[in-house]
Amino acid sequence: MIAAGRRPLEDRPFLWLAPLLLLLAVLYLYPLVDVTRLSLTDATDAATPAHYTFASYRSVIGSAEFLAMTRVTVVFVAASIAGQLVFGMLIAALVCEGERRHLPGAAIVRAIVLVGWVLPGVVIGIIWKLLLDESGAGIVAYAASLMGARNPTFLSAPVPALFWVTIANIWRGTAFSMIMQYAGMKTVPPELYEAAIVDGAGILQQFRYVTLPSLRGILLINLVLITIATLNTFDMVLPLTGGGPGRATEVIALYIYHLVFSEFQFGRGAAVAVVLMAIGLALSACYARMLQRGRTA
Amino acid sequence: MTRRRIVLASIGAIAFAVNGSARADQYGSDSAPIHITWQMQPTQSPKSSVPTVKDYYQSHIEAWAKAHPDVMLDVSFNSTDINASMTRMQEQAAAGRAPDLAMLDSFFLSRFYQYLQPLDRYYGPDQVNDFVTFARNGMRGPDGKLKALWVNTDVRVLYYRKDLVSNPPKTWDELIAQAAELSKRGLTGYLYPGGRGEGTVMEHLPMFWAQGGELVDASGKPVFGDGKNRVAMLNLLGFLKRTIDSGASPNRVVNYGFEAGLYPEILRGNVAMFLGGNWMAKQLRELGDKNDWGVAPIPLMVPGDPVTAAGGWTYAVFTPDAKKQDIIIDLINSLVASPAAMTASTAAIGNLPTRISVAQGDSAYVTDPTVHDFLALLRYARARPGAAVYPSISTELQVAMSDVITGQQTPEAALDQAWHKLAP
Amino acid sequence: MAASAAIYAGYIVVGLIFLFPLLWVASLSLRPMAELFVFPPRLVPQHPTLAAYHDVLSGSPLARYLLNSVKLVSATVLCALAIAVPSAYALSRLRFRRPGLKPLVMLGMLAVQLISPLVTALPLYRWFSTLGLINSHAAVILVYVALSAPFATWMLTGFLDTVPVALDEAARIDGCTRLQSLLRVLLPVMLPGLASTAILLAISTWGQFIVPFVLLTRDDLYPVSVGILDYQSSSDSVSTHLLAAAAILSALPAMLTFLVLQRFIVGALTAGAVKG
Repeated sequence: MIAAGRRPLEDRPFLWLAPLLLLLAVLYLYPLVDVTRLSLTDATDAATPAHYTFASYRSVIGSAEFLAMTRVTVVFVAASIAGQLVFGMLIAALVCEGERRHLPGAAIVRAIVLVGWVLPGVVIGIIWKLLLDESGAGIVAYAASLMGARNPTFLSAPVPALFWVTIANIWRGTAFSMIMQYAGMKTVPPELYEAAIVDGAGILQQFRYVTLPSLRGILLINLVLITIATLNTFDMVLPLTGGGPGRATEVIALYIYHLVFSEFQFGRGAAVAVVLMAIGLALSACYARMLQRGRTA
Repeated sequence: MTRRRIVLASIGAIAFAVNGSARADQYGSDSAPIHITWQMQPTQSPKSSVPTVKDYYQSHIEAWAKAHPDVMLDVSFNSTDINASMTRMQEQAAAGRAPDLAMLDSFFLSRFYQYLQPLDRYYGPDQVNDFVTFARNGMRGPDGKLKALWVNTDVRVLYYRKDLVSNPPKTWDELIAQAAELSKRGLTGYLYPGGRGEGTVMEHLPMFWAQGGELVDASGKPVFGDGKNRVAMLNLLGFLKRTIDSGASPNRVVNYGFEAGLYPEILRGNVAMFLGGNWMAKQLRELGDKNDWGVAPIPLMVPGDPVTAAGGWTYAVFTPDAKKQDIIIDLINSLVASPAAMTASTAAIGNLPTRISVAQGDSAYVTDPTVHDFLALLRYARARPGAAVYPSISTELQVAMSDVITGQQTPEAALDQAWHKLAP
Repeated sequence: MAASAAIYAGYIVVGLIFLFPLLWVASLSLRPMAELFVFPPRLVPQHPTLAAYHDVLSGSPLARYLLNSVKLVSATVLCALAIAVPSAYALSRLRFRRPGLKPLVMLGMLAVQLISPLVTALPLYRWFSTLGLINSHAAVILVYVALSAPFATWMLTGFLDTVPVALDEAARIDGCTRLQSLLRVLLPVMLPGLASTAILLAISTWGQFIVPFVLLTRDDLYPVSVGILDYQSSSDSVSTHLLAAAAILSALPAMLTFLVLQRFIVGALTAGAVKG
């Protein structure tokens, strides 16, 4: 029984959390404060003195360009989420079924899918850039021309470029989604399926009424994690298109990279970063509410 | 159990092997009394993937190090992203942690003047006047002191296949007419970098400058969207649009942000003309290209004197230590800066010397006909403005150009967008 | 059976989609320079050669990049877990003064994930620069740990929540301190959770780009995610075959690790992932 007065030291949560909180304070809080401070200046490179001003925010927010980039980011993130969740589920179901029927080879398929996830983002961008070479030496362009396309366009026009960048991202991230859902599917008690079969459910109905509800928690977590990861993705896009053509594939994270590391507009870069964080926080809060509701449901 | 032990043992062995050996980026021993830190540009260093370059730098640096046993050279490298490397270097310089000796991209030099040590006592007026005008101007800081040595440069030209093009075009109209005709025959008439990348801007600046266009004014403020500069830029953007609309160029030019992106297509043998840098001539030969390429000045809107853009690398000194400076200057001279060293190093790299005496010399390299053609253009070469805002201008122009090429925006809209972002 | 055939067909399609890009890059890596841009493109080179691999392994620090990556990842995982375990214990087992605090902290862990290292990279660079911590693996590991520990905490709290309180209560009734109960009783039970968290941390740390890119300028310190960019064709040469060889080499350790540890990895994820 703990007296109403002081609790023993070991019962105080913040003591246990101290190392983590200290680490976060030093390596997160300080840079965040600095970024916010930078966003309120017009800082450029180290040499020019900076002044405090809202100009960085003004020049960014509401500019037609930023709106366009937001659209690009939204499309990129939404399509990636959808693609990764759906394909992850399909592949997980495929592998699960295969294992259930004791078909060999499931382990190899899983390993192959995981390849995309394990490679660093820059490597993936480089690989897909090589693949999508439009000059005829590229294998995908060649295949397209064999199928009748006269001027295969992958990265040299705005819409196809965004499409292929998203495809590359889905290729990259499906593995994680697959693994999570596979793990979830494996833990569904077989009795539930047996009961459903007894009730006359076909494969699709089993999926809809047994598998999906069981996966609900995992799907939500998946959703959160994919969103976070994709919102911050830029390392794959950099070697793949560099944000081009024009700004057609310049997701917000890439824009920040360019502002800071190519143009030395630290103030503007910081402003966009703060905006991105705000967007992410808003999404996070939404998901958190969905998770809460999921738990109490 | 045994398998696990073997695995652990091999990991240990590898780790030891890697840590036990001396770092490859060090010349001289740790015990040498003088340590000099040197930040190199990989493409002009023992790390280059071009054999002649690698051999040149490797052998010369090693020889120098052997002749100076009291010095240890501690070498690190810029990353392939030049902008990022230069940003970092700037931060380092501001924090007082710059390397003793650094290779700085010429168009970035202006950001470093305040941190660099003056080299006037090593190079008198005779020496400095031996450098071409734009190099001379760039090497001096605003205080008039010599702040760096601009040791090599490059120019941009129109390459054309002699078997396909008998008379290289001098104007935009001629270029488009000839290229469209060639494209109809199934070739790629005219190829150029048109995407996100510094190469795109630099290759096209001559066409802008030739019309009297300026990117910035004397104080470094952007002016490219104003008055006659605006007209010049609109003309350039309109030209780019015409290359695509006329069929002279394929829209995949927007995939190429740098000249190096053009190599695969050129090597495939289907390209009749392309916009590129002088170093590409040597590179193509080494890559096995068998075509006979002619070199001509960049086509302009109206016939006139040639104009081209020049880049190149500089060597600059951050350390205030006089003894180290002496040693560094000795190193630079023996490697790249003295007339003999410049002759040899530029020949190895395949770019151009900045010393007039070397350019007019009689070495095998500069008397080679193609190189001679390039050198003749040095007179008409301009460097990019050293204004701090240049990287932003470049980015916006890259976006504008690629948008015009893909048809995303009209030239007017694209230029307006770029201008509104940067107009003072 | 038709269903089994369909499943195999599915396996093949999936396998091809995910393997093909790698196969193409492998093909590029095995070509002599003359065959790099040949038309029409062939998957199997006519004169395969290991020259690119030789050049990459002997003439470049790829092996060192890989070793750096391994070093950074192992240290990060160990340190992050060392911090996350007590934190997860606190969140799972200890009562907070105010009941609303726990979900807030959990949300905080998630929210912190949102902050891309891209955002904190520049201030960190400037700060570390003044402290002289540039080009220090220790500094990089510190930042990695700060990036990974919140997620690890979040995951481990989830796992711990599934372990019945009775288990460590029993140990404490027997006289153990909380720390002892954590180390002796809970840790062994948490092993699958620790394993799966470790793996997730390893993967995300392996692919980290911006932090090492900003904090390291000496290439003998680069991990492979940064080092590989060096192989991209620069302004003076074509190095597609080298780039391809480097890409394959950097993918191999990860793939092999996965193949070998697969059953264990998936088993671990299965055991813990459900609660989430």
